[in-house]
Amino acid sequence: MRLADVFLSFPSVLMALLVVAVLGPGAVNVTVAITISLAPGFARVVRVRALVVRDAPYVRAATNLGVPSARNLLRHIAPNTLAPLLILATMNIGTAIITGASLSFIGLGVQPPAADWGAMLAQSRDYLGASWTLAVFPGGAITLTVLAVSIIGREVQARYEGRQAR
Amino acid sequence: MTNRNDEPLAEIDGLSVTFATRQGPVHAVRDVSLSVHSGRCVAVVGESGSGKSVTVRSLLGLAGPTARVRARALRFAGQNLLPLTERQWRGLRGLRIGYVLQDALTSLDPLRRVGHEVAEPLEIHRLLDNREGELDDRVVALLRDAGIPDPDTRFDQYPHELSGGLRQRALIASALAAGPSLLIADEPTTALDVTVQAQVLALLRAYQSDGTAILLISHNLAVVADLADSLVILYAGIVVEQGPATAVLAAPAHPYTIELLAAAPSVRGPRLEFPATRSAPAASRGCPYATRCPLADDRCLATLPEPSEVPGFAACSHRVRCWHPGARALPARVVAEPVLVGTVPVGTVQADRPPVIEVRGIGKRYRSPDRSWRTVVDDVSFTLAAGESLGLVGESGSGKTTTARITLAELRPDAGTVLLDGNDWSDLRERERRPQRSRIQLVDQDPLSAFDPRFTVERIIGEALPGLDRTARRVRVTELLRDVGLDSELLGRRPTELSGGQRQRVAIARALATQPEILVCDEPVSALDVTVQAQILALLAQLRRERGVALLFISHDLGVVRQVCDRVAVMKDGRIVESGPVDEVFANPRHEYTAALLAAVPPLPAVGEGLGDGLGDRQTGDVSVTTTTTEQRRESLDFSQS
Repeated sequence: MRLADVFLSFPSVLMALLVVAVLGPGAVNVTVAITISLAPGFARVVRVRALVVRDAPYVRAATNLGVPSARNLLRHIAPNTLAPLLILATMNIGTAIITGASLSFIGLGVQPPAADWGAMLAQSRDYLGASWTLAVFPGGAITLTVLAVSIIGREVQARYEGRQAR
Repeated sequence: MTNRNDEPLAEIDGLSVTFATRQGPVHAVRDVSLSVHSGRCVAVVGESGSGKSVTVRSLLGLAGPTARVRARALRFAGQNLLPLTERQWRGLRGLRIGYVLQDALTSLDPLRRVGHEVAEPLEIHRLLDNREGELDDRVVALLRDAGIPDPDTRFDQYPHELSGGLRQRALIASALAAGPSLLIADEPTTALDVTVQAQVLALLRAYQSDGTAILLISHNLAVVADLADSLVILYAGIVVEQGPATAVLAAPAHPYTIELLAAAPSVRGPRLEFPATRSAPAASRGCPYATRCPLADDRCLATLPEPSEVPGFAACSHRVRCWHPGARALPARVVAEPVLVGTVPVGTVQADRPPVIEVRGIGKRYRSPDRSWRTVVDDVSFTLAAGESLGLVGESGSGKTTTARITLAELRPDAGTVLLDGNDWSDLRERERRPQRSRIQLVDQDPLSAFDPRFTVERIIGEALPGLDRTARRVRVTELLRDVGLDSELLGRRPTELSGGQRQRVAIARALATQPEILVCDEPVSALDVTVQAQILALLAQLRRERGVALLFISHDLGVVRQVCDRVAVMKDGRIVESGPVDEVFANPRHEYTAALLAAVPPLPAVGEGLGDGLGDRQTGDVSVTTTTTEQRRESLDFSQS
């Protein structure tokens, strides 16, 4: 967990940058880099949730019923630990998209000729005077996608918490 | 007594509150009228969902955004409250009407110091500023008035550093900070131990005698009986009976009032057993109580009676809404005679049966944050025979729950051992213990958290039935539900979709699924209304009778313990200070702590007389009901100390 804390202390873009610097650019490497940069956050949430769920009265109740520990882990602890992760995951998709676009923007992400909004944005800088649409559309696409994903994430969260609270 | 012609301080006349919901309008409160005079206490009593909180919240303009509040009059100190704007309401709240919320444990901001919390009404209403420390001095004085020892230290502490009782006091101090003339207290003692409850009630009484009017809400008639000058009994949003407390308690006229009075288990009165069945939901037309009432006839089902004066008490306006006012019937039977002080012979011999569980000198200690050891359970021993019922009583923090968890082998004791049927239990490895776990089961205080939130009732109970196929399991679960008085229509419900009583029944059904020999019940009814509590206690008594299940019953409520237990062990600071047959211990407490616990139980003055006529057992004629007056209780205390 201390290692995760060290990782968490870096902004995710910086962390991803570091990984790409080691592995080199490319679509696969960018995916790996983003995963590594976001993983510590997930680790933290999972750990805290698991600690809470482990001592929950319903887990104790199952133990009292004679449910073996392995089954208890699979049936009660794991599902109740992982459910909130779904929310964190949807919320994190936006961060991942932005990180990916940033890496491509500085030329460390997906390599041409493959298309990428971040890379398109970077290339459009040279032609801003001639054609502003070159910058507006990739930029707008990134913004809209991230916005849409965040809204979906919030909705998922609201539904989940609504079910809990009711 | 003040002149009855005095203008009341607060007056509610013909209040109706309707909530708009997706399922259509819900009439939470219908035609409720009450008034509070300065220096008097009015108690609004009813079960959860009876509309008591909504009634008083209307007086604060807090009925809620979806509520439609209508009233002929809503007055406070001569001012009409109905046309008030939100800003004007805010000027009233905290300044002229103080409001103490139910849950002292969560009503204080965990990030603010207690002193600042108490000072808040003074700051908001700009009564004092802190330029010369006046505010701080005032808050310290308020804390001291609320009976908080060492107020200077408490001022700088956070809520988590205070006990439940102190937090409730701080909350009351905060509500009274701006010197309101009316204090509204919503279930102020429900979460508290019996001794702390007695202190909080005494505090309210002190404020009342200083001239503060008090509007008290409770589901427990016994708690408010001593404090209230007049009582308002609510059922399904309707005032079924109201009048001076002495009149209502001496001659309860509505069957619901009679049920409420009888349902609160007493420490010395006759031991009653209610039917273990669920109470029917309130009727939508006619008298709402008709579906539960033993006296109900066609007229009750068809039309709601108008309030009428109770004969003989016309002079002091004792009104009841019933077609059969004063008729006595109770859906309960007497299972044990009342205990009279000093009548139980000391040293009643217990039948000698081999213990099914034997706890030998167990101890448990924990490391405090300051590295010192804190002993939670210290040299506790007891035995429990098959079919026997042992009560474990004591205040919170006395080690009851830890003892239960060690007995269940959830925790390993630091010292001593627990034997099951004379064989190792606490010393076994979990692998060896697991096949035997079905023999001892737990019913928890808070069943909601004891169920996996994702599971349906069928899966919750089914988990206790390994090795059955789907159809066989469903059949068995349905049987178990029926045994605890629930319908099979609940099979697909999730825990959050059940009422408190239903949850506790499901918890009992799950515990019974493994056909245990021992049930450990940890405060199983402390979160329930008195009427639901009476049903659950009856269910436990029935299970014990019919299946010979032994009960280890943990509670801070002595009346409840007396209702279900043969023997009782009193715990204080991790030790058992006194134990013996329950009636013997309660009649002749030998340890001063037991005596203090008993003295703190709120008495029900004159209830016996009123109920005496009401008990169906006048027909069987073999039980005479006797009350224990406060004087007698005092005598018993003196006796125990001499």
